[in-house]
Formats: sequence, C-alpha cells, structure tokens
Amino acid sequence: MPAPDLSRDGPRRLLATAGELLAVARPRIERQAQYAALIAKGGRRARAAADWLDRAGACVTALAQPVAVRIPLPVRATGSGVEIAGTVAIGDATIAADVAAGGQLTACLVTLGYGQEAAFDWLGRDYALHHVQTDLAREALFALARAADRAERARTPGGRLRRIPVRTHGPCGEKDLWDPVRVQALLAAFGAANPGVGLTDSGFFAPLHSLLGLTLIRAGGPQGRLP
Amino acid sequence: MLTEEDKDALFDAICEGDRETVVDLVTKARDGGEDLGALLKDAMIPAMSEVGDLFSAGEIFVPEMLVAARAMQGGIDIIEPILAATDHEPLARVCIGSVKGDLHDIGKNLVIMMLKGAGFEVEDLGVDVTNETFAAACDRGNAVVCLSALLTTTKPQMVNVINHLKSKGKTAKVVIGGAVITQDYADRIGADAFGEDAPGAVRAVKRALGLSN
Repeated sequence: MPAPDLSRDGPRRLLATAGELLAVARPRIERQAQYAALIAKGGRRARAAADWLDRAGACVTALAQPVAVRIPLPVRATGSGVEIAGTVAIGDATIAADVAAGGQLTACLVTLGYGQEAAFDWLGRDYALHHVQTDLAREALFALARAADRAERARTPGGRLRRIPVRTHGPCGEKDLWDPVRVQALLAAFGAANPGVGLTDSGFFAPLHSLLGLTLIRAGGPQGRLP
Repeated sequence: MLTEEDKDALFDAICEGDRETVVDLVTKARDGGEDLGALLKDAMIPAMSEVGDLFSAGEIFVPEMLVAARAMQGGIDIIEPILAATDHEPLARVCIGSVKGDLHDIGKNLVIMMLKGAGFEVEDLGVDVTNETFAAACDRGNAVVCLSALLTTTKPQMVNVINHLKSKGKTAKVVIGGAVITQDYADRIGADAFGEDAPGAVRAVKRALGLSN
C-alpha cells in the first residue's frame, strides 16, 4: 500500500491503485465459502471462477479511482453521548468517555469512484460476471478502508483505534442503522474534500462502492482489532 | 437428432456448468433438425430448475448457480434466434426492477438469470425505477412486474408501485422479493406472490400466472 499523507491539519487523503487493492481483495474472495466451494470442485467450475475473477479484476482496474479521505471532526461530550460538528448526535456513553479522555474523532470517506452501471456496461452486460465484479469490488473497498485505518493508527503509535460504523441500510429489524439525514450531515462536513460521494434520500451511497466510517483514536491502551 | 442419452448428458452438463458440452449438444440438436423448443422445455429448463432447488436447499452457493446459468445461456444463445424466427412464444413476458430509491441490483440480476433459464422473456428495467416506468412496462406486454427492494427505507415503495399500477388499470401480476421482504409483507400489501430467493422468484412468477412448477 502507498505511504499515507500524515499531515495533521485538515483532510488527509490516501490513494491506492486498483492493483494494490485487488492483491488483497482477490484472495479474500477466494476464501469466502461460496467461492471456495466452487474452486474446491476443481475442473471447469474452478476455471470458470478464475476466469470470472480475472475479468472482474480487469473491470475494477479499468474503472476504479480509489481514494480514502479522512477529516478531523469537532466533537463535544453531551450528557449521554457526543455531538459531532454541532449537528450529529451519537447516544453512546462509552464514546463520550473516550472523547472526554482525549480521544480524537475522525470521519473517513472511502470510494472506488465508479458505479454499477459503468461496470455492467464494461462487462458487456453479462449478469454473472457483474455479480462477481460486485463481490470483488466490495472486498477492494474494504481493503482500502482497512488501509486508511492503518494509516490513522500510524499517526498515534501505541494508540487505541475504535471503529464506529456508519451503516445506512441493512435487513429489516437490524439495529444501529443511521438515518440518512444524519449521514448527509456527516458528508456535508467533508466540504470540498469530498471525493464525489453523495447519498440518496433512501440511504445509498452514490457511487455504490463507497462507505463512510467514524474512528475514535486515543493514546495508550490496546490496539483496536483488525477487520 | 439427440438420443435420450444425449438429452440426459445435456441435463447433466447444465447442472455441472459444462458450457462446452451444452453448446456441443445444442448445436448437434440444431443441425439435426431437433425441436429446439421441446429440448428447451423438456431437458434444459428442468436442469436449471434442479440447480435452483439445490441453491434453495443450501446445497450450492450463488457462484455455482451462476456457472450453471452460464452453461444454460450457451445453449439459449443458439436456440433463441431460431425460435424467434418461428411462432414460438416464451412462457410469459416479465419485467423486473429495483424500486425507486433502491440502487442495488445483485438480487434483481440473479432473478433475471433464473427467469431466463426458466423460459421467460425478461425486460430489465434497472434500478431506481419509477412507478411510471413500471406502468409503461405493463403496456409493452409484460404479464408480471417483479419488484426488488433491499432496504427498510425502500421497501415501502413497493406499496406505491402496486397502488399506482392499480390506479392506472394495469392487470399485470406483481411479484416481490428482496432481503427485507417476507410472505407476510407481500400478503399485507396485496402482492400476487413473493419469492424468497432467486429460484423462489421463478416459482412465485409461475404461481402468480397459474403455471405449474
């Protein structure tokens, strides 16, 4: 992975090539139960999986412009949680405690920079190949997010990093989902540093292969767990 | 002409994702003057149905289902132009889209592959589809409207589609599915059928149309 921008003031950008991300993403995909089961059957099934992953990788390489942007967030502890940038409240007493103990809150916006329609067209509107591309792109996105977290840890050696996921959607009944309005407020905090990621009213990032996360880092204590 | 052994081999080749053998056997059938519509109906579609059943039973995963669908498509690519030149009609015409506000296409695309493998003609309306677009698709001869929604925030849009189609006098059946959808929800909002997964969507479309499985 490339060396991160470790400037202390303002937005911090981490750029990566698609090739670097795919070097991480492809082995992870191949270990997923659904792909591992196919590959384990060998023969034409394994060849089909390999061919699809090769072509999906070529698509990601051709289209992706991966970037992660991290911004520090002004935060103050409230009674039972924190208020971020004067607009977004999180009702979590443990986060409040970390902030009170000197923790620094940042938001990280990660994107591969291309949408599903572009990928579908690039892949000749092949549904099966597009499905594999979606799985591979998702793994590449998370590889970039993990790299961004490692860069953040590198700024505070020995510090403890806590990840606070910002999930706008999930199956019915799933807890800890963020209201799209709150997410929109967080996105607004990026201002001109936003690498072109928007949010639909229903809570989808556009382009789809994007994610937003909060991290809280404080000096001392055990390292946060790697994803 | 294909022997019964050839037809069994064709069935197995689809199930095993052996696209080369599927293409070879369908080519042999075409060159021998075989009734390709009957071959599709009697050997190939049942093979994809078997694959769908294995997926629904948890015995195979999505990638293996895709390999089988790819093999099936190898045969369909040979058969389709020939059947199009005759009076052959697909099982039915179906349109499918992710509802307004929903940008996910994975589930929708799996359903498309399985519907095509089951003999339906499928019009892909894409994602973030408006009520008006669904209604216009009905006017193009689609007998079934399949709605996909992945999120809690987009699920309610299905009710809007159903109400819009009714208000416009559309008689197409509505089949719904998606990670957040249940049979109970389908019943409550007046959908004609619910598909719990991609193969389930095929069964649901057939139920909605009164076709046997």
